[in-house]
Amino acid sequence: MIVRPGSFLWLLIHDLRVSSRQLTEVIAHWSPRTAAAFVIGSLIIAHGLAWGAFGLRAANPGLFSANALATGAIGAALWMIAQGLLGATRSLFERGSLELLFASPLAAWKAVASRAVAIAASSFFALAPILLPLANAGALRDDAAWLAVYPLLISMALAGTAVGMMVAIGLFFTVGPRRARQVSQIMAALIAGGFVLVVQIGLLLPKDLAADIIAWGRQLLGGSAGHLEAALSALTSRISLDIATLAVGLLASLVLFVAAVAALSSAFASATLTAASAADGPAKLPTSARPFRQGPGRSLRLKEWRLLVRDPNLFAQLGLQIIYTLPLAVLLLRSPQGIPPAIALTPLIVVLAAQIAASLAWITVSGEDAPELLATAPILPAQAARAKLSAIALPLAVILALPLLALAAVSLQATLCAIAFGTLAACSTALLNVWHPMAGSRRSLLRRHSQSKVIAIAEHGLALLWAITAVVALVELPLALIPMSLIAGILWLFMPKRHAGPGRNGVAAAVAAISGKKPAAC
Amino acid sequence: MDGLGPGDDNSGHTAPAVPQAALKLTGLTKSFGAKHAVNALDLRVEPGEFYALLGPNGAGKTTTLRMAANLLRPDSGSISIFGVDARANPVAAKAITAWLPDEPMLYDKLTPVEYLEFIAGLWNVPPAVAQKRAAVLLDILELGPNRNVRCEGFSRGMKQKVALAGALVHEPRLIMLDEPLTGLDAAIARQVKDLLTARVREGATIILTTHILEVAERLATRIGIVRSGRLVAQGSMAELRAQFGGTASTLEDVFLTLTTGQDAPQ
Repeated sequence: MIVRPGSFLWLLIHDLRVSSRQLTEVIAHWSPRTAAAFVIGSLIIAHGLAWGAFGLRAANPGLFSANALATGAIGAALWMIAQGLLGATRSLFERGSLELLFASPLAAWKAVASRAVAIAASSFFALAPILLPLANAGALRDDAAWLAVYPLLISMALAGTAVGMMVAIGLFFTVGPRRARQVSQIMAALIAGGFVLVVQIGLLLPKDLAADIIAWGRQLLGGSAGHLEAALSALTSRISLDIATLAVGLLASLVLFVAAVAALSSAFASATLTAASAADGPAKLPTSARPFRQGPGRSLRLKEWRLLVRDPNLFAQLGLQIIYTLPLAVLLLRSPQGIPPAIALTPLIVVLAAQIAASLAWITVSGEDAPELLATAPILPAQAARAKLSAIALPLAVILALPLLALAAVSLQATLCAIAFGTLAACSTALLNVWHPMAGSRRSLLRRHSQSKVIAIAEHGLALLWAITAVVALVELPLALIPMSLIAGILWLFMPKRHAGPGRNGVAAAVAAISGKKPAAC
Repeated sequence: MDGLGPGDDNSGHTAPAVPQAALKLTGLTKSFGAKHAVNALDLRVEPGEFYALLGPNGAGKTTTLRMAANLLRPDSGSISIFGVDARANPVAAKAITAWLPDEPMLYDKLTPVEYLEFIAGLWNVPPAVAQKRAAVLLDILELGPNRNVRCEGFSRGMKQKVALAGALVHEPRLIMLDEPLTGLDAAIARQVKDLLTARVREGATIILTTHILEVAERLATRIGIVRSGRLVAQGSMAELRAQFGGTASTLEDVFLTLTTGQDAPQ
C-alpha cells in the first residue's frame, strides 16, 4: 500500500516509527536473531510468571478478587493519565520535530493527532508486557473474560492521553510556559504515585483508625457517600465486563481522544511555538556577596547540592521511588506470620538507601551536564568520582532520617543495623552506577533502567541481598556472611577490571559515553 | 606550573635553551575505525601566539584539539603543553589549559557567578582572587545584570559568553577554542574577539578552530591548514599568500587552493 506523503497516516507511521525506536533502543544494536530470541524469551518468561500467578490463586483467593482488580484498574488508569500528561508536556517543550511540522504546510491537527496516537501507543506498550500475559494466562486458566484487558488497556491509553493533553495545555496557559513543565511533571508524579500512596497508607493504618477515618469521610460527604459507594460497588461488580460494556467504553474513550485532539490542535500548536521561545525564562536568584569556596572537592559537592535543590522534578521522581517501595513494607507488616516491625522496617530502609543512592549516583555521574568540563579540569577522575559520591551522602541522609527515626522508636539495635547495612548498600549501588555510567539527562531519571537491563537487575539484586543481609544479621549475625559473599561476587563481576580501583574511570567513561567516543582515559 | 616557563632547564646542560612551545604535537595520530581522523600531525604553537587551525569539515581540527585537551586518547604521538607531557601528566597539563567547545558546557540551574565559582574551585584558584576575576570578566562580557540569573533562560550567545568567562577565570596559559564564534551575533562576536585579543596581549596563547576565515585572517598571528588529518600549510597570512597565492589573494583563495585543489581566481 502506498501512503500519500503528508497524509495523516503517513505522519502517523513516521511518529510510531520514532516512538518504537525509542522503546526498542536497548535491543536496536543487537543482531536480528538475538533481538528475536530476547523478545520471544521475554514473552515466554512473562507468560510463565503470569501462569504461575494464577497457580497461586488457589492458595490465596484474594489475589485476583474483584476489589483487587478494581484497585489495579484504577491504578493503571491513573498511571496512564500521568503518562499522557508527561508525553504531552514533553512534546510541548521538545523543540525540533513538532516545530518542524508546524512550520510545514501540514494541517496542525495532523501533527497533534499523530503525536497523540504515539503517546497513547507508548503508554499502552509500557503496561502491555505486564498486563497482557496476565490476560492471556487468565483466559486459559480461568475465564475468557480476562481478554477484556486488551480493549480496556486501549481505552485507558486513549483516555489517559486525552486527559493528559488537556491538563498539559491547561497548565501551560494558566501557570505559564516556564512553570508548566515543572508543575506537570510533579503533577504526573503525584497522580501516579499518589494512588499507590493512598492505597498503601490505608493498608498500613491500624484497623480502628482506618474505620474512624472512613466514618469521618462518610459524615463529611453526607448524602453523597451513598451514591459514591454505589458507583464504586457497580465498578467492582462489573470488573468482568461484557462485550457491550467494553465496546461502549472503547467508543467513549475514542470519542474523548478525538474531541481532545480536535479541540486542542490549534492551542497545542500555539503552545509548542511559544514554548520554543519562552520555555525556561530566567529565574533570578537573590544577590549575595558570599565569598567563593575553594578546592575541587568542595566545589563539586556544592555544585551537586545546588543542582539537586533547584530541581523539584527530581524530588518528585525520588519521591515516586519511595512510594513504589511502600508495597514491600505493607507485605511485610501485614504478613500472616506477624513479622515484628523492627524486622520488617530494617530491610525496607536498606532497600530505600540502595535505590536512592543508585538514583543520586546516576544523576551526578551519568546525568552530569558538563562532562567535558570535568574531563578537562585538573583533577583525577577518581577524585571527581569521590567528590560526587560524597555529595550524595547528605541528601541520602536527609531522606532516610525520618524512617530511621521511626525505626529508632521501635528498636535501637535494628536502627544501627539499618544504618550500617544501608550505608553499605548505598555505597555498592552507587559504585555500580559510577563503574557503569550511561549517557542520560537528569530529566530521564525514572527511565534510566531502560538504558541497561543488566545493570538494573544487578542494582535490584544488590538492594535485595543487602536487605536480606540486614534481616539475617538481626537474627543471627554470622549467617549474614552468606548473602554478603553473594554481594561481593556481584560487585566483583561488575567492577571494571582494567582499572585500578572504584570510580577510577567513572567520569572519564561518562564523558566518553555522553560524547559517543571511546573512554578518554588520558 | 610557573616554573615551567620558557628557558627553564633543570638538566644541567649549558646548550642554548630552545624556547618552549606553548603546544607541541608530534606525530599525533587518531583513527576511528578505518578512518584516519588525524594522521601523524606535527604542530608547534609558540607562547603568546594567536593560532587559527583551519580545514574543511572532517579534516581533523576538532579531533586534534580534543586530544590536546585530554578528551581523546591519541593512537600515537606526543602532546606537550609548556613542556608538560600531557599524556604522562594530564593533571599538570590541564592546570594551565582551558578548553572551550562549540557547544557551551554549562549547568542550566547555576547562575554565571556560581558557574565561575565552580570552575575556579576546580582549578583551585584562591577564592578572593577568583571572585575579583569573575567580577571583571562578567563586566567585560556585559553579563553583570544577569550575574545572579540562572543560565537556563539565556540565549546561545549569552551561554557562550558565560562559558568563555569560565574558560578564562583561572587564567590559563593555553586557551583552546573550538568554533567559539559559531552562532553568535555581531555584537557578542566582537566582545569575544576583543577579549581573546586582550588575553593574547597579556601573554596567553590561543589556538582556535574556525570556519569563519575572516576571523582567522584578522586575529591570528599564524594560520595552520589541515586536510585529511595532516597539516598541509602554516604560516602568517603574508607567508601563506607568498607560498600558495599571490599578493592580492585572500585567505579564502589560499584555503580553497590547499583544501580542494581549486586555483585562486586571478
